[in-house]
Amino acid sequence: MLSSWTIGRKITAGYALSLIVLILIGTVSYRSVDALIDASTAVHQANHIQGELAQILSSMKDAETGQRGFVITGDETYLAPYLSGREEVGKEVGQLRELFKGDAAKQKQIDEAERLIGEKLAELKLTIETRKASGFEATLKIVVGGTGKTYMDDLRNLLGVMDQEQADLLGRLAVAAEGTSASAKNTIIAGTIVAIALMIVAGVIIIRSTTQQLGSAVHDMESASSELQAASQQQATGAKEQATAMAEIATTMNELLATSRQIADSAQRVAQVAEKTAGSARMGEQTVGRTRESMASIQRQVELIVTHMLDLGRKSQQIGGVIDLINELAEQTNILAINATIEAVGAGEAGKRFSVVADEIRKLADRVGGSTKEIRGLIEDVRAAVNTTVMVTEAGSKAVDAGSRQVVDVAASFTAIAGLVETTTASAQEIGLSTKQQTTAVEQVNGAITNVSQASRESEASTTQTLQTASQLAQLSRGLNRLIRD
Amino acid sequence: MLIARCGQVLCAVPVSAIAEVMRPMEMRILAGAPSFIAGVSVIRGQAVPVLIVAHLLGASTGSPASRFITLRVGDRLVALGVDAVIGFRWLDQDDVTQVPPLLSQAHPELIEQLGRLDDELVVVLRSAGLIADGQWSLLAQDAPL
Repeated sequence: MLSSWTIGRKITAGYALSLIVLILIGTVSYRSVDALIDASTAVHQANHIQGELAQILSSMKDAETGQRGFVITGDETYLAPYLSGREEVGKEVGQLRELFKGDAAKQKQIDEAERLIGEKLAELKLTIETRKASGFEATLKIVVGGTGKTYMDDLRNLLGVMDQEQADLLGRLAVAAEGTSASAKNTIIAGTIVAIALMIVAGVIIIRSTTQQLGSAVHDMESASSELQAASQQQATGAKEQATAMAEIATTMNELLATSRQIADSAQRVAQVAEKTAGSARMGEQTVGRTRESMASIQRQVELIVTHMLDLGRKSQQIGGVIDLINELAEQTNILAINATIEAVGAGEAGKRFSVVADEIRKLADRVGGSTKEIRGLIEDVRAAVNTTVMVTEAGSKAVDAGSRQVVDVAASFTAIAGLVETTTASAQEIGLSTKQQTTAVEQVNGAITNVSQASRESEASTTQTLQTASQLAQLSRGLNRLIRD
Repeated sequence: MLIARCGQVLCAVPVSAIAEVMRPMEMRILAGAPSFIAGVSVIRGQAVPVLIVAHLLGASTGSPASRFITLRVGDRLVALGVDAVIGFRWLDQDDVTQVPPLLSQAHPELIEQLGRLDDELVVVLRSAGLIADGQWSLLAQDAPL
């Protein structure tokens, strides 16, 4: 349990134990001294009482001596002791009564003594008055009567009893004071020995455990100092590297600052170019709008051409029908003319002229047939041309349609380009603004890095100092360890 | 002579033998008929055998006949299918020759003479004897009408 206590606690416990012993010794000593003081006071009072008793008796003796001298000589100068004794005895009885204040038995004894003093003083006064008035003889009779002597003896006995009581009290007080002082002396000696023994034991225990704990702590401190030294060394190296890195960062930040400024200028130029591009895109959009209208007009014209061409095709087909009819008529005429020629030949000479006519008709029919064939060919050519034209026109219409769609797409692209360019402008402006802010931030960072670099150098210096301090601490630990172990 | 185009050659038919020139009529093929008869058409209410001359001469171009020339063969009619009727020509004796002996066996019932017209070969067709009598009875028997 003791090993788990702290040094302060152990010292406090040692001091507390010693303090308890000292308090005990002090208490016993105080009580003994108090008892001795009480005894001394009682002795003083008893001595005072004995003195007062002796003074009362002495004053009464003085009064009696003065009375005797006057009675014997009749010289009033001998009355001086009487007068002073009579005067003093009253004060002394009052002081005695004061000393026995609260003691009813003693007060009764004082009452008795006071009565006897009064009786004796009255007897002395009577004898003096008698001496003055009646002379020596009359006075002698009173003295010889022995009344005064009786009073004086009773008083002397009473005061002797009271003095003996005080003497007995002093004896008891002396015995008690001796016992008390012997007890106090024994208690002080024993308590001092016990206190010394306890303090030696506590001191040994505290020193042993404290030395052990301090040794362990110093050992720990020594190893911690070594670790701190190593850490400080590493920190010093790190601080140097940090200072170098901060210098590099500062250089990089300067380059970054220059780059940020270039970016800000580039962003401004980009914004200007984007604004011009936006204007061009808007113009392009308007041009495309007009182109789209032109394409729509072309498409309408092409559709009109297609309609006309299809109409032409239908008309050609109708002409073909008419030509078919003519061809049919020509063929029929041809056949009829041939048959007429055959019949005319069959008719002999009479039909010869008719056969010539019929043959001419046949030739005409042949020519008509040939012409119809040519016309048919021409119509076929026209129809083929119309078909080709229609197809080409439709292809053109489709191309125009596709072109229109492409123009719409181009218009949409221009709109998108305009929007994108506006976005680009805004973005470029934001980039410019951001880059300016970034430049400001980089400048601030640069300043901060300069401060940090300064702080790194200071840290490096501090770390070096810490290293020195750690080395000194390690030396101190070793010295302290030697102090404790030795 | 009536000159007609028969495939790659010209044919000549004596006008006197011709009954009529007409558009081709509907023609039906007869089973068991001679191979040179392409079919039978009803012309003027009469079943008339049709001979495609270009096929018989081996000069066909594949195109169908555009004219029928009906010939009187006795009291019967025979229709010749030709590509086109060109017209009437008079062929001089100098322009025609007899069929050479080497070719005498080539359709002797069909070709009477050979000639030229404007530097083109003309086959003068024989009007009579195109179809034998026995074949006529067979045609009458198999005719649909």
